[in-house]
Amino acid sequence: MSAITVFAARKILTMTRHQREATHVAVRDGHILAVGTLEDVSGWGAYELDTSFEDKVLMPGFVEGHCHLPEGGIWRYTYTGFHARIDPDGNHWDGIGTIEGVIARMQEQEAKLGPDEPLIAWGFDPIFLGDRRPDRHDLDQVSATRPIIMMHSNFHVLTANTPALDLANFAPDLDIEGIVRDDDGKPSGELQEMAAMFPVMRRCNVDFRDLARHRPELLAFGKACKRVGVTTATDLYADLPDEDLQTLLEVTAEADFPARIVPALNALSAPPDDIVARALALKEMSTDRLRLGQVKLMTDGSIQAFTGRLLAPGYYNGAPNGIWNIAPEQLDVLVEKLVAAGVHMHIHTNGDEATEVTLNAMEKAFSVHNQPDHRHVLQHVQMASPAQFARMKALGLCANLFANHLFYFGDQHAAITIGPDRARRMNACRTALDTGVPLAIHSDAPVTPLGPLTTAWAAVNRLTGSGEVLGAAERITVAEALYAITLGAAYTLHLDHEVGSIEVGKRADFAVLDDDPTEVDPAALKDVPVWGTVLGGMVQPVQ
Amino acid sequence: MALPVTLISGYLGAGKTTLINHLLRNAGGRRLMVMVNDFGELPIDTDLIESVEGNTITLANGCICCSIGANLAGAFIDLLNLDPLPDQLLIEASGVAEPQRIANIARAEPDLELRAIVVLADAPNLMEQAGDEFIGAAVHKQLAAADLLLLNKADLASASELAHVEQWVGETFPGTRHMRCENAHITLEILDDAPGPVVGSDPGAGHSHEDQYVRWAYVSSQPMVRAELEKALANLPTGVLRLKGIINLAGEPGSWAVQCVGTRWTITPHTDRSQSQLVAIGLKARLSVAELDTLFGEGRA
Repeated sequence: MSAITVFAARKILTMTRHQREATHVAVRDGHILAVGTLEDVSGWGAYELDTSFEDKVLMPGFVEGHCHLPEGGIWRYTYTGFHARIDPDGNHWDGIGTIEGVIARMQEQEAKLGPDEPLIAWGFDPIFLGDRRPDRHDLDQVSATRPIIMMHSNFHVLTANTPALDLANFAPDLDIEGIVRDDDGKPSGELQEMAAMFPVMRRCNVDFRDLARHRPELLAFGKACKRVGVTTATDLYADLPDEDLQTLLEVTAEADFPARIVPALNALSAPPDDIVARALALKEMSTDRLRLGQVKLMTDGSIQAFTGRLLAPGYYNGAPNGIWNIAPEQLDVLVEKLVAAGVHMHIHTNGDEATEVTLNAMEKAFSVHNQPDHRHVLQHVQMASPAQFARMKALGLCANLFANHLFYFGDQHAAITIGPDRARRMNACRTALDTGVPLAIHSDAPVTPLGPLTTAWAAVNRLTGSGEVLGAAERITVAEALYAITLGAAYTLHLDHEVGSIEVGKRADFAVLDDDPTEVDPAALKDVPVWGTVLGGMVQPVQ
Repeated sequence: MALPVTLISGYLGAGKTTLINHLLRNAGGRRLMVMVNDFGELPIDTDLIESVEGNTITLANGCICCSIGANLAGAFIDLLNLDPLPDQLLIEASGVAEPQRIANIARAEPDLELRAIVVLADAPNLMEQAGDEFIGAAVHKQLAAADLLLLNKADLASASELAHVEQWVGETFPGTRHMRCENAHITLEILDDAPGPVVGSDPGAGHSHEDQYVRWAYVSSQPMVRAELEKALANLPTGVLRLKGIINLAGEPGSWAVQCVGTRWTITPHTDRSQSQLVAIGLKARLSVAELDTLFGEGRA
């Protein structure tokens, strides 16, 4: 008989109905043996009492239903964003609000580099810095000899210094929209979209695949999870070539790897029959810390880049409608095959037209095939209307809403992209719950920072960056938000029978908090300190 | 020497895969690399395939086909790391892709050279697709980006439908070089990338549609004047589908390769030749070789 450990805590928030709070949890073989008072849990035989959490609050380990592995690896680059951020090693990076501040930050980092290394930065967003956009002359102040690339937060724009531009050697008469030129017709340093960015990035050895395919970056991701109480995290768009899959299997199997990873295979990279076969084969390769077999479909782009597909009246600023990543008629075919095979889908739909087209595809597929308990998830679904939530309910679909967007982009959505009325009902968590649609909320890290308590805070308060409440009627309670980042998200991953609550038989995955999120001021929910996690009974302190 | 790139675009069912298989089947010893950004069907006829490994298909004739996957930049990085590089890159864009966005990568990257954006259209269904609420805008962008537009499946459209489509294309996208075809079958001279003026044998030769083409050749020991040449290339008769050759330029050392597909042309450095030679192929119905004689005759120094 394996050893039993009983963890004593100030409070345990179980997320179960029959026993909302407890003080002790017994763990055996990585699973929860008993929950309740010390008396409740001591009937299973000899145990070792671990009192290190006596002054802590335990919750089920948080489940991030939509993020990406580069949240770990991106920190090899220098952070120059407007919002403060914490890296996987716990270093606090202040937000920067001026171009001078950006230059100073880069100068500090530049001094630490070897002679032949380019300086790469990320996270910069000019919308927070007033009218003047930085150019190559700004970055030349950091170094006039070392190539420098500053990626913007959307990863669709970068600013390069003169040595980096020289590497690409753009022809003087090359008329590509994305190569911004100054008054003299020379490249200003700002390069927009892949075509303009690629020659410079390639010559500075920037390959985003490197952010997630080797052991150090995967370990960094694990650390990033632990730091914010996450024990189950998705990687919601992966090609999973064999060598990457092998690395993932090996690294997640290391004894002290601190998270369970749920990759979703890119379903648009091969014919539908091949995707079905691959997803089913991957599912069989799952381990307790690497859960394979789910897939991701991309329908449209993003709202803030005006590439999301919107129903009438479209973009508030008159921008033309966005782009498709898959033709609607092709989506019908792919969805039907995946529904028929019972492959669990996560479908990216940002704009409400993309949501509508996806609902249509689902409806057609379900009229032919009946797969019980499918739990397909619409991801982001930021603009969904009440009528669309009603259709989701009728079709048995889940919604994973992008609550962090309310804070990070809410002001821009109201002012520029979709206007104040539709912005007020963006990421409509209240409507989802009232309609009965299973709800998760997410960060899309590294697009916004990983941190489920922050995501819960965003859904509870709906504060924008400027401090306005955006759509008070769509706020949810703290209890509902905590459910969404635990059992709610676990449900959307078909993992609610294993994780998401502190309940007998489930995996012993806990978030260990220094404070009680149900007791603090809801406006301070994001500030509840995370001590660490427990994964399968293994204690994982942040420090 | 930059790797030549031909982008094949068009909405679903327009014939992109058929055209690519036609090109692969007749590669004639040239190592073509196909990057596929579409996912509707198996991109390669099975009888051509030698092996499949991950997302890469190797053909018996040495050509390679791979899927672009989730990371477009990564696909180009891997391509440019190949040693040796292929002779030519064909990109099959997805049915809803904006071809200009992908083509611009080949235009901006110094190690790539965009040769042409070839767009196929499903002629009998084009008007319906162009007016579709969901994909109409994407179809318009594809047509607008075309250096050469192939109005495919012409055999499945009535004469009046075809005439209507051609009239609409002419009015909506003025200056677009377009031609009708069936089963995406065009003479490979149009997309064959070899810079030299010698036109290879084409299994299409002798085909019943062969008589729709007219050919033109130009040889001169006199160098051409760059400004005149550029003017001629910018004002080619609309019946010209392809023009290429190696020429000498007055006052400029070395020789120069001229490449033109539809409305896109380039003049790039080439090894020395004593003579200037150009060849062209066009549509008999729309091109008289006398026009080209006149145009290039004036180019002689």
